[in-house]
Amino acid sequence: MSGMYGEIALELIKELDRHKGKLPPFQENELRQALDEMQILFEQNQRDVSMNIPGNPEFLAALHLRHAALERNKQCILAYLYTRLKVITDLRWDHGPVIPAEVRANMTEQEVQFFANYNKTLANYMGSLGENHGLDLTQDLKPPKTLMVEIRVLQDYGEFELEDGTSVLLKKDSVHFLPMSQCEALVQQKIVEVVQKQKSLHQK
Amino acid sequence: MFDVRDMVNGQWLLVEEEAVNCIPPTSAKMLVEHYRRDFIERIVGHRLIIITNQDVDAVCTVKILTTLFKTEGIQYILLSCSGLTELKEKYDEYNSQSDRCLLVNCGGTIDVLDLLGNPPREKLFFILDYHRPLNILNYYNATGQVVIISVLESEENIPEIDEIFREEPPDSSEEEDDHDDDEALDANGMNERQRRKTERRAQRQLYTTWVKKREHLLFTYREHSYYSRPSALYGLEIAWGMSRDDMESVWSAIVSLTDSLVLGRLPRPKYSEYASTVNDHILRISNANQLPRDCLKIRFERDLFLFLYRHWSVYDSLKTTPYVVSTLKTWSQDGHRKLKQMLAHLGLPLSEVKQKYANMSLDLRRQLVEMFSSQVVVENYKLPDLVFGSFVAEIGFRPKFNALDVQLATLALLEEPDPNKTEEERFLLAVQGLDVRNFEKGGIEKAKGMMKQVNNQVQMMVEMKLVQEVGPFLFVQLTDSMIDFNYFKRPAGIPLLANFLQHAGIRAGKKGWRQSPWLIMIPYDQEYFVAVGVQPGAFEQADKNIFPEVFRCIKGKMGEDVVADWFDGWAILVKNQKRQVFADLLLALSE
Repeated sequence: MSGMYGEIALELIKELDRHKGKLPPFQENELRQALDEMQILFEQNQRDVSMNIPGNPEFLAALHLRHAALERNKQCILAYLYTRLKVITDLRWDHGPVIPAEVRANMTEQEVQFFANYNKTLANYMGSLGENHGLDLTQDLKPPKTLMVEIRVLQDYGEFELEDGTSVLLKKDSVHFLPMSQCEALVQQKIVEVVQKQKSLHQK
Repeated sequence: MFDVRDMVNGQWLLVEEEAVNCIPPTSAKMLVEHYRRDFIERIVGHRLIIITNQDVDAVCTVKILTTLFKTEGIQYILLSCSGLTELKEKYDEYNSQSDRCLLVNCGGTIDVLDLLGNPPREKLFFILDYHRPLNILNYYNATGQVVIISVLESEENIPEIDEIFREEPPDSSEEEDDHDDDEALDANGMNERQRRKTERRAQRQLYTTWVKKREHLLFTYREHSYYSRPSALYGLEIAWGMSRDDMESVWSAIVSLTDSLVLGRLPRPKYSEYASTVNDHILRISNANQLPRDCLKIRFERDLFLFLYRHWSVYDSLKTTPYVVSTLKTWSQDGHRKLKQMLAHLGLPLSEVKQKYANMSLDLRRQLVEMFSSQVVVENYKLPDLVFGSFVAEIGFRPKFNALDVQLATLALLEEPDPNKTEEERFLLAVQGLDVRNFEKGGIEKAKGMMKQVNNQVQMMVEMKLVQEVGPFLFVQLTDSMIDFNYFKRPAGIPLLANFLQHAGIRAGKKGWRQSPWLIMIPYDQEYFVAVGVQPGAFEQADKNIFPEVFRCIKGKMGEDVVADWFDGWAILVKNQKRQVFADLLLALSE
């Protein structure tokens, strides 16, 4: 084993930091190495303690050092795992119940399991709100400035049904002023675009 | 001057003729009297279909109204169309979506209900149109479905309702048969019958004279076409009525007002009148709120009637502005010398005027307006209108810009001959381009190209002597070398070219040409050309135009060979092969 104690665990944290807010592939090797390191440290400590006679300060400093390294590794690994879970829960709020395939490829089996559970819990909770109607908490995370949005249709789409039961015909180059909540999906599918809002002078 | 009266054979009256016998409408007129009550409150809670013409005024109006609807939270669908067929197409596609429809600058002069196939009663149509005269059947409509957003002006003499609608008395001959058998021998009945008969005959007589009078009335009403207040001014007033007006809607209204002046839709006195109302709005708004430094500020001030000079050099601008070009005849060597002479007289060094306006020395820039309004220019060079009351805007410390340039930029965006963009796309681009913070982006450069093209056309017309005297008309046939990249194919931009051609033609040609109507033929595509009728003196003074009525007549005779689809009647499409037929008809009608 090369380098200082805890170096590999730190590498894990750095890796996450480089991909802030995203989910990098799970570093299984590094994690295992860090755990091995902890195992070795623990065994050495165990040995020293069993050999040690009480009141003899000879081994105490080494013991302390190893223990600190051990604790640090533990902290780093937990932080690594926890942050990944945090990213996964955030994904649920941003992208909805279905995770994009490329993100899913970076998740471990347990994480997928966690996500499914989280999904279920959240759905149960949202269903219990708002007197039997349920409430989609993931919408309007920030209070919207306007409820309506002006959109321009980029390609012929045909009839689009709105929540209130009425439908709108979306044809190329027509402009519509519709409730924001209904248009988000259309914007993501690049069928419509939001008509440019005025930029303030300072941004330019 | 020719008289259209002789050439009318009743054909053009057909539409009204059918309606004579219908029951007179119960409600007298359908004008919006109170914007909030009669317009906004009737569309709140509905989705509004806005169908708009594609011209600068419509761009401005749409800009104002959509901003208003956005703040009021009124859902809308915005569609633009270039002519009657497209209007009908769009309506058919979308009519299931809503019961409320707003027509901007289209539909006022035609019977909307008839065109759209007599829609069911719950559909309401709001018409905001500057084309005049209004169609009588829109004004008096029996079902109350058509609502016109307008304030009638004194020159709009819409005939009274009982002068146009009256129930037809029963046909006398028919009734006679009915009664013959019953009362055949009764002496009293004889008398009675006689009496009734004469009564009926008198009624009949009265009716026929009434019909004649009606025809005459309608004819004089429809004979001349003209334009009233720009729709954007109504848009501004609606926004004001809802207390939602701001500087930017005022600016849009100004651009549209300037458009009316530049394209000769409004006479100058009218322009000044409306300009002063707009100025009142500016004062009211800027007094009402404390404005931060970087917001839009507009001032009404005397400015040069030179196209795009703030974004070009003064010299280039002088050489392309129609008013200067045709007055000084700068297409000739002589005129060129005159222009330079004038600059020398004013003390403007060539090196200064030939560089970009922004780089000119500050002292000169400040004196420009004063210089060009001096006695020298007015008297020696006969350019009294080179300085006019206009609006200049600025934002923060950025360079000022004036309404004239923005108008031209918008027009250029709208009429840009780019085959990759559909007309609707260009319309939306123009609406975006009107945004005060980024209007410079492409419109200005395109406007320069457009002005250069106008000047080329004029130069060509003068050099190749394209003006022909044909009967009472003057024909100008533009060559089709520039068919693919022509800015002037649709009524929104054509007046700029047509009026300029007329003025330049008169200046280069004979004095007598001043009194003649002009017919300008612009190549449109492989199959059609645009025939544009310009009334005498259109350049100096916007006036009523008789051509729409003439063209309607010709359309009646030529049928499929002529496409009269545009909302502006003075321009129609004629098949290239039928040019001679068209010209002959026109001449025949004028005799």
